[in-house]
Amino acid sequence: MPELTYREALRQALREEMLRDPSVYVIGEEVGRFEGPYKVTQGLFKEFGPRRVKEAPIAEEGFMGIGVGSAMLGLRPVVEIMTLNFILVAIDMVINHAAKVRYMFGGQLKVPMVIRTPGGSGKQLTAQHSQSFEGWFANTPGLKVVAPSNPADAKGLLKSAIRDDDPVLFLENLTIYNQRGEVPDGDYVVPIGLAAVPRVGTDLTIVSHSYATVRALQVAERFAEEGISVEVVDLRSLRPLDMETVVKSVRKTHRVLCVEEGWPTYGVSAEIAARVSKACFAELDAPVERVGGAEVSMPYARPLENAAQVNNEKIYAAARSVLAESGMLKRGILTANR
Amino acid sequence: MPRLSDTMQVGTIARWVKHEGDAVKTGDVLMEVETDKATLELPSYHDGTLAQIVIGDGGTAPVGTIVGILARVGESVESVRIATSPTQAPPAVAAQPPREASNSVPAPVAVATVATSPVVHDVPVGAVKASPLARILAEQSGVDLRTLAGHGSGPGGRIVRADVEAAAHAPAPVQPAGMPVVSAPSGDAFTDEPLNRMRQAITRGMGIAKPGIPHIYLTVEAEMDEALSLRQQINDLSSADPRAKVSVNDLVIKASSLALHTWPAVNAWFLDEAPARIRTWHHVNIGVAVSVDGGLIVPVIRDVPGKSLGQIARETKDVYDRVRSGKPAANDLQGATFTVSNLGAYGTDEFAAVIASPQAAILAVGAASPRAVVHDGQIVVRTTMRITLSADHRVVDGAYAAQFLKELKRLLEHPISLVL
Amino acid sequence: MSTIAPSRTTPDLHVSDEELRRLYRMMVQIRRFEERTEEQYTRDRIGGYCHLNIGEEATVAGTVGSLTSDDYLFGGYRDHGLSLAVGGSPRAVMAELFGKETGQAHGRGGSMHLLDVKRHFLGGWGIVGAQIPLAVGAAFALDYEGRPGAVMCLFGDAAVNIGAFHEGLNLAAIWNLPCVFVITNNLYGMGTSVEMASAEPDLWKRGQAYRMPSERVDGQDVLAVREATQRLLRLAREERQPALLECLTYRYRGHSVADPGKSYRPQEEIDRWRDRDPIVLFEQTLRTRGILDDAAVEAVRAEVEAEVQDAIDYALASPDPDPKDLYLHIYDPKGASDFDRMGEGAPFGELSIRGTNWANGEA
Repeated sequence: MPELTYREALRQALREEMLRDPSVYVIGEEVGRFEGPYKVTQGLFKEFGPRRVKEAPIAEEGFMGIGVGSAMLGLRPVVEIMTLNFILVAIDMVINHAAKVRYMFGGQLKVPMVIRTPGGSGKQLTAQHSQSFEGWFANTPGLKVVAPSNPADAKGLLKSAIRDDDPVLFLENLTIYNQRGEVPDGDYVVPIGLAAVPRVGTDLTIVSHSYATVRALQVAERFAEEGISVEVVDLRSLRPLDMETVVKSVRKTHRVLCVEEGWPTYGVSAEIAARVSKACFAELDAPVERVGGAEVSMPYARPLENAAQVNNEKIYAAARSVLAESGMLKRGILTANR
Repeated sequence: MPRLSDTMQVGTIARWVKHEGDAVKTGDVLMEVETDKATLELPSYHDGTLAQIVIGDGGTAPVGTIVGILARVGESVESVRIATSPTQAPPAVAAQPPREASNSVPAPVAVATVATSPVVHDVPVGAVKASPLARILAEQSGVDLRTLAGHGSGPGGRIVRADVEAAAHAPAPVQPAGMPVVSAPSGDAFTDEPLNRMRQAITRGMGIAKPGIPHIYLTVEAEMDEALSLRQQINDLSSADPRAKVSVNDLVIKASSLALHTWPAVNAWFLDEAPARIRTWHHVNIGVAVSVDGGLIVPVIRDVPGKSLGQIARETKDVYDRVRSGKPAANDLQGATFTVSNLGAYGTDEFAAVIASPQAAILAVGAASPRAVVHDGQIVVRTTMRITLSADHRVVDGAYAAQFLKELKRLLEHPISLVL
Repeated sequence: MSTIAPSRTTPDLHVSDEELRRLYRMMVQIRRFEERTEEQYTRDRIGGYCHLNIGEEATVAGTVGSLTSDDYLFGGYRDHGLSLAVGGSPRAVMAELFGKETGQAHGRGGSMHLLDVKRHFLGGWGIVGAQIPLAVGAAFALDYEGRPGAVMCLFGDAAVNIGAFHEGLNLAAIWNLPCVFVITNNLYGMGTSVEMASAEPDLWKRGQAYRMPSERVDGQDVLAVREATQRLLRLAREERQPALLECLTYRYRGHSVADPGKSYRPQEEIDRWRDRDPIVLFEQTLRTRGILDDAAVEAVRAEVEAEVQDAIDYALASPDPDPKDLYLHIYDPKGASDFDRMGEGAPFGELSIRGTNWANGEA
């Protein structure tokens, strides 16, 4: 199996879908001659030309609306929003329009559209460019929200999203564009609505998505060295949400930690926590814990930014607290100081 | 509501001896309280005036509830009274604190406020801190979460899965029916030690084979001819005072106390709470199991090694009389460090007794009867008595218990030591 | 607004008699339909917001009445007349206002969200100006697929100050998309006058910033509106040249049925506009040209009266949507299985108290 970066996997999916279906087109800022602000669309303009790789001016609400309107007439637009932060100026088109069309008109119209956008924080990108509010979109009926954490899922889910007859917010991540991984060749499709279990364990379940999954796997490795077995559930899809896989895992480990890059209050982890608390009430041996970004506007200075971001130390500490909640510290399974 | 026994959670005011407005001196009986065991008198611990009766005759309240207010000397009776509903007792709050004075006026003293450890059986299971999984497992495995309350390994003693699983393998000690729980008055000296690694290992190992208190049983047969002879002489000397008449059991009590002095590890409690520890008592209080109508009581004779056989005989009768009359003193039924149970009077040759937790051992004494024994290759008739020690293996090992028994046998067979 | 004089009018007297009668009937139908709608609203048969086209019939008929079957229409929430003007069934429109399963949006949309997919009316939309980028997107799709036809997007005077208007017009212009933008300038955005809201009250001039043909027309003169619209539509279809048309008109009623429409405008102004009632003006023109007489007018009115009454009767008799279908149409039914593993609260089922089987461990 060839090894690709996350961004190459996305590009491969876009290209294959554009070749497969002439109604698929790409629209966004700098997606053409500039070859993509994060180079995801590199080469597509040369191959498919200006008709199918539409270079939009900075007018997110305008070209998001174009995506919705053209999808209503049967096209399959892939709208690239340079980063999730900028979707706010187009949010009316997403929430009030893309998500509503099918229902508001009694099922007579559909919006087969994909909105590709990277979320998360980078290095000192500061308050207006470091956000992860995918939970807002996952809150909205009519939208689907997927957030792959590795190159293979990036390819497989993007193909599914493009073929889906409903609007899909496809959340990428700045930090993992360069991450490499094996990606199946050809028409590799990952169904929307299925979580993955990239690491199997017995003592604790970490539920995460996107970059948080990468971190969760690193933390799980560290726990393995201490003899503690952590299972990682990578949600992949936030709406629909694969609670079946989460519940199955929690029933095995009896302990849950939810990790997300975004603010936890009213966030993805809040939803998981609520659902787990109900579905697994009798299975829990410790309260559900969660880790998210500090609830501040992302500061610029490096030490402040480090303090605000989710990192492996915070995940590790939160995981330990869950384990301690179920007595593993007192029983000597966890060491008191690490 | 004063806490007057280990198992008491609720008490009933049988009768207020003092009335509102009465002057009270330290030691005066304030009231009689009915517990699950007996009716006990509660003395005042302060001089003052009974300012208010909060819970009247016949009223029932949980331990820790304020039942009355005592104004100390110099305090105004009115200033310490608390508001109560005329028909209803105040809410049953455990350890409701006495009112604090907001200035330099001496604080009023609640008649009884006892800092209660978690009491077990009246607490709803739902109020016990436990993880949801622990609850389900407890229900499935028949573990009473209340027996683990506050001692879980989770934060704040919350019970978690592992605690229930451990308890399911080694259920918490259950009181033998009818066997009163003993407790020690504060002030008695003891040494607490956590279980060392070996004791931990023994505890774990025994717990698997023998859940609960892992009893071991050792029996000796003591020749009692000399002891019986000694007893006869003593009783002949003190025939004027029938209350000083020494029984065989009094000899056993005295001998046991001396043997415990030599082998102190037997004179201990096993405290089965996290972390488990062994409390070795510096004094010897011996409980004497006595059958009463419909049950069993265990009057306690305190500081036995320092007492003469005559004192022991008298005290045994005094305590027994008080208990039988239903008016034991507060310490009459608690604080035993070792227990003696004697069924010799019923002709029982030999039996094994169940340890009264948290004590580490109990002695079961059979009848002194003429039996054939071998001396220097000759069969001779001697009056012998079989004594069986039940010991908690978590506390003492067989060899140690055997040496205690050997000493006990030596003392009984050479009874001069008992009167020295 | 100092003047209501249109910047240009070009009365087209070469319209066929049949077309003139069609436009007249359309205007009478919209007027009567809206009057009866207002009545139904007062009888509590219609809920929510309800915005009427009364007074704007010439603008609606002149613009929407000019569309062909290749064209598409997007509108705002004052859309009852639009749906009638594309030839939609008064029954389906009234049933939607009544919230019935037989309505144009099966009772899911209501007054503001009418549509007629078959006749290419792609929606009444509820957010001021937000339909403009959607319409540009539809024009993009026509262009992308090389289809004939153009898109018409109607919006009110208040929409020209919103970002979506400028983004939409700019994108249509730079990409040469076949779209005609129509401002139905009825002088007030709710209670805020155009002079209060717009630094340049000559709204048609906004289009010049995007280098597109822009003009103003007398919105009370159906033939003037029709002529301008057809000219601009032709430009869009044939030259991929977007354009902006401003129609000066007036709504007799308030912003919605709930607004008396009196506090922010003088009675004298309302009376003055009523004196130029578009139906009266058009009727006079047609009578002058001998196309209409008393009998013909009476016949049209009677026919429309019966038609609207029939629509009301139909709506009344129609079934309500079944609450068991609450979750229908949130997602593609084919995608329902995606949500199977979501458990309770999934968009294909009630957020249940008991939870689904697997959530309760019963499976």
